[in-house]
Amino acid sequence: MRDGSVLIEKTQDILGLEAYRIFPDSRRFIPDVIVASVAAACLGEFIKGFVNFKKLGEGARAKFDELIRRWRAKDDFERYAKQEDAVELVSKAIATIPEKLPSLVQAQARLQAALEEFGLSKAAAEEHAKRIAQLLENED
Amino acid sequence: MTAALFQSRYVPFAEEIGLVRALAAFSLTNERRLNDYWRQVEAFDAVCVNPDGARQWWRVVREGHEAWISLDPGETRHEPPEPPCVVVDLLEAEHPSWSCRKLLAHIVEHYRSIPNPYESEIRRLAIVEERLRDTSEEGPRLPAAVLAEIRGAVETDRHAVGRVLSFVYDEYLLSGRCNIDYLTEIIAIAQLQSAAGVHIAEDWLGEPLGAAYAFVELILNDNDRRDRMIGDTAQFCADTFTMARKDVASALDETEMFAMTRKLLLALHRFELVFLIDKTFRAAGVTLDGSGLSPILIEESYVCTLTGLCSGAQFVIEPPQDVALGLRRQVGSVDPTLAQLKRAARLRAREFEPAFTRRFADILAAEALSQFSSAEVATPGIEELLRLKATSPPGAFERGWINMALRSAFMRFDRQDDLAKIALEIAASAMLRHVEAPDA
Repeated sequence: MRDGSVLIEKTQDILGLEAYRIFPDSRRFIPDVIVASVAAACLGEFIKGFVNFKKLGEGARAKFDELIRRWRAKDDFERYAKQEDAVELVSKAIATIPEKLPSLVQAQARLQAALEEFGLSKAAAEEHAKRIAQLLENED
Repeated sequence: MTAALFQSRYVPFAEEIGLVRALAAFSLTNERRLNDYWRQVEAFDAVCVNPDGARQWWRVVREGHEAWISLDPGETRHEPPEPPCVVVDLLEAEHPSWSCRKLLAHIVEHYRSIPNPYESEIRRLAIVEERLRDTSEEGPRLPAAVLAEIRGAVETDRHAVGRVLSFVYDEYLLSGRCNIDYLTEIIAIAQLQSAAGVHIAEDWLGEPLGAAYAFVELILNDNDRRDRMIGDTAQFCADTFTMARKDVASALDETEMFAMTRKLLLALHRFELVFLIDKTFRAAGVTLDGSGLSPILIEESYVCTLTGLCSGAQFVIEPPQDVALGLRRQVGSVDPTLAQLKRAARLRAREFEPAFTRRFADILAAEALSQFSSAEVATPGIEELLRLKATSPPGAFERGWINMALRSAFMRFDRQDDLAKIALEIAASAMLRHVEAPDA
């Protein structure tokens, strides 16, 4: 089974400073919990097509979807991510995805679009989405 | 805090790391700003009593501009914060208890006990001594001949600019012979002229930043050049930012701490370049949307790299055992795993604070585990230290650090045979360092 916390940590390394995009320009000193939550939401966006939501449960699904929506829209993400423990939530979702994943092409394209919406340039979004896809591929 | 390397405890090759890191930090900006920075770090580190739980702000005045900084949650404002809150004035703080100047002077003194330093160290020492003699407020600037060469290249073509910059990077930026923020201002205005395809006839070398603001405003009012200028500059910022992030990533992946500093200096310069250029456009009411960068991202990239460089310099005056001990406190568990300690150590080995290489962070994590009094908990840490020493080729500093950590652990668990071997290795390396001519 995949270790969600390890995948989220690796995603943090890939995104790095991009996590700051969740903040308005006046904010500084991003807390580690937000860096991890942004990585979790980003990874959640990538895996959402593979999650077994039946196994995850309806309540968790609603929270998972809401987390990703708030990340993409930058809508009060910080408070929500802390309240719902974004890392825990996405780790649980990761635990339900099948060991053998089908093609990741669509997931990668979807994540690229989300990262562009998050503010990254096309080239940066493409590179980050590719590296996150490789993370999942290498876990197989 | 005194300016003794690793609080005067023996760490092999400490002076070499200390020299590189302190010189890098000393080159970041002029000395007054640098001391302000350290004063700020010390003030932020100090425990503040705030019984009412009201949000605390620090009032900072830099070059006549006021700013209010809150650490929790992190925020910077340029207007006074609304009550209820507590505002502490940083102006009233004392001078920093240590400075790069003191540290560098101490290292130079320390080197007198080393009879045969490496050629590279002798060159670096000469630069440090020259820097210490210079007590001017603005610090060392580029020589007039180099400035003339940059100006000549700007008036020729982009390729000429590239050639001159490559020389300037090697001779001044990476060697610590010039203040980086001043050099970055020069390169920013040179780059802006390149992007606009026009050069300034008047002297722009005296006040490069002021010239940059005026130049950008002028070009943005020129309809024939405006779009090209915006497009080219946005692309330049995006490319430079990407390169800087790659520099940081590569610095973190270095096998030796020694090699890390150069890459961080280059990254810092590139982040600052983007920061200054972006600021000149914003001042003229134009955002470089094509760069895909936001002001907070640009500024924090610069600040985080600066923090890594400064915290890397401060590291050399911390007691060595305390660095690993801090990780144990940070993790908080009575029997933490190696993975937990690595996670904590790597908080100072990532883009947000690139103070250590990832490899050195792993060494610190293993050392932290090896410091436990229970043999059961400490043994995986000792084994990891031995594994790191055997499987990856660490630099002289890293090897020395591992040996000292192993020595402490072997002493604690009375492993006499292992202790004898490690003591022999430490003594041999110390003898070589102090007796042989390394470049012979």
